[in-house]
Amino acid sequence: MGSEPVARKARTGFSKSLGLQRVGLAVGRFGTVLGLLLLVMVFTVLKPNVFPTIRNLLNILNQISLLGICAAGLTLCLAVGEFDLSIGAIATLGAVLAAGWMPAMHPALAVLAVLGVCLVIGLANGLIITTLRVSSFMTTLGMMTVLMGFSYWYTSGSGSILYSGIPKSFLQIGRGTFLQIPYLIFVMAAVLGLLHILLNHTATGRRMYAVGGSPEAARFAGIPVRRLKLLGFALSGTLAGLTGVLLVARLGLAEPTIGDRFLFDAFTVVFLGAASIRIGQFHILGTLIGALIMGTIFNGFTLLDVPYHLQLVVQGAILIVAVTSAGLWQGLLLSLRVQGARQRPKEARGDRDAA
Amino acid sequence: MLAAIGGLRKYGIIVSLVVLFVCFSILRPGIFPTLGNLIAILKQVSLLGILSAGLTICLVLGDFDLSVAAVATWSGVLVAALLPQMNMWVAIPLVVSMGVGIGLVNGFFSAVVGISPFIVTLATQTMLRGLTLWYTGGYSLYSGIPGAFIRIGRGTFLGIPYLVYVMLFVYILIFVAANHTAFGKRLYAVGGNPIASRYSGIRVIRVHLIGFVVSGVLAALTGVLLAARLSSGQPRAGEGLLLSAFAACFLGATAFRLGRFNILGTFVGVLFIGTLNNGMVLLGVPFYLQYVIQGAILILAIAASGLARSLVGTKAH
Repeated sequence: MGSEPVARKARTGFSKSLGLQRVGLAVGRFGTVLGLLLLVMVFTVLKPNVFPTIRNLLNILNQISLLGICAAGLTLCLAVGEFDLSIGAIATLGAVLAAGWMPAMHPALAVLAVLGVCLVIGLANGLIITTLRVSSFMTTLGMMTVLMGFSYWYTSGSGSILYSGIPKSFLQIGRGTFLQIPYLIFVMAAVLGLLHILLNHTATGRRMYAVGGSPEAARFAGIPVRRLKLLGFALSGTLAGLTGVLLVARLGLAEPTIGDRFLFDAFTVVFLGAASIRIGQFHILGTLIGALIMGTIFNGFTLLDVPYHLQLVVQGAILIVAVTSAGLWQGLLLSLRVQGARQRPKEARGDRDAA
Repeated sequence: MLAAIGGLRKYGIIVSLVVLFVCFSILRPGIFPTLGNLIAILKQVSLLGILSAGLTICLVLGDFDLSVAAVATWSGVLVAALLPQMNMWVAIPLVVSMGVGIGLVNGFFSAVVGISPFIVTLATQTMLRGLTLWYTGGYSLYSGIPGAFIRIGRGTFLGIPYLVYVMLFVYILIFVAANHTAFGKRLYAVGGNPIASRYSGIRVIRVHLIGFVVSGVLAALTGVLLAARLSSGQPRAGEGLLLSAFAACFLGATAFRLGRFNILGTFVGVLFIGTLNNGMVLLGVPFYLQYVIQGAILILAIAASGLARSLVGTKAH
């Protein structure tokens, strides 16, 4: 039984000094935050006049706002232990439908209708998965393919780009500012704030984590597992749809691949988040940190004229480094606990060895 | 009745394949059920088939490998870049051994370090995608590719394309390895219960590493053959293969071995996707509707298998 933690400790290769380990643990928990600060410092030194300005900070926040919203929805879905691979396709669909319906009806009505459709798609994902107890990976993969086809079909009549008849008032959402802060930042702050409260300060949030941790145990504890999973998928779908709607507000057009990149980017952000502060747990604060890291990298590297595609290489590398280091620190935490357990009275240990 | 449901579940995908075949034969009698078209289907699915075979091994072990399509795309670009400078029989092994390297990296971080394979391969696929697009600048590489190399992708032997032979060879190899060797037993043991496997003396980490290496090698091979078929290295050529490969493996998991990934099932899944695409093209179905139908069939297949399982399951208790 003892071989596993020992092996872990050997892997982490840290000294037995408890003080050092405590420091190490703190570093591990806040590793991604420190990494973010390091990035900020490096870019500040390299581009002192451009990078560390309020304007550029707002710029970064504006750039990550849509990714943050989409990733926050995914966080909820992953928190209940399910994958949602359809978010990119839902974002595309949301954008395409918003741009398509906007000329025909009042913008607010169109937005509500689009969000309603995306909510139904999320619920459909959840219903199929919970009712038939099938893999969420496969089901959302299928849903993604269906929605992709639908978006292509919907735009095929208009040369695959929809841009006409989108009212100025709607575009104002994506481009306007209040107190010089873009509206989109407020939207992101509101979404992240609400979801943070839901996940961390309500009974529903605690139950969602319980479901994600062990659905079996949650069911025996009387938690409505199915309803909470449905909630996860519904939020994930609706927020992906909102991402698509806001994409149209920002870009003023929609085309059938517009939301694709949100799939992999959102997963990267959420996993970076799970490697911060509360390691191994999906939480909204972590997701925000992940989004900030992504935004800072892209902003800083663009200022430094690094080609966009090399930024993808860095993005992947940072994901691996962050999760690896978080995993190593977690191993350290485990070995610390084992050490604590070893300091029990000797006879207890004798009993255990005899057993 | 129950036995019928159970049987239907086990062979549902094969029954569906036959139904599909009959439908297309009735709708396009002069074109679909011809020898030429059957060979065309096999040729169309050959690359997807090779890629899915490697992915199956990873999935049996419970590892998601999201990097396969990016590895294939990068390998296609790399081989197209190497070919003008060296003999193709040096370039191809070089690229395939790079697949070994990527597999080892994926395996190291997921099996040795202990990160979820989903995250690791998400990261490696992002990096490879970036590398490919950066290296090519988004353009295809097509100069200096020798005719002998292009013939691999286009040539035939006894009327059957080389690519089909390669695919069949890969499947036979993996089928034998998975079902008739000690390694195959270990593979399913580790996939079924890693803890029990470790206690029974299986080197679990090594099995996971081998899984990722097989997947990486076959993805690299797919990329090489893709470059041969397109007679160029294209920076987005393999992207569409990821979804199809996962779809084929998951469809295959509904056949033969109840709810478990298996190589024979994957082969049927690949044939199913190939037949569906071929038939829809012959019927003139627009491409976007093909997506919708493919996705709907994927959901239906998994739903049907889930339904059958819960029906049989509730009666058994």
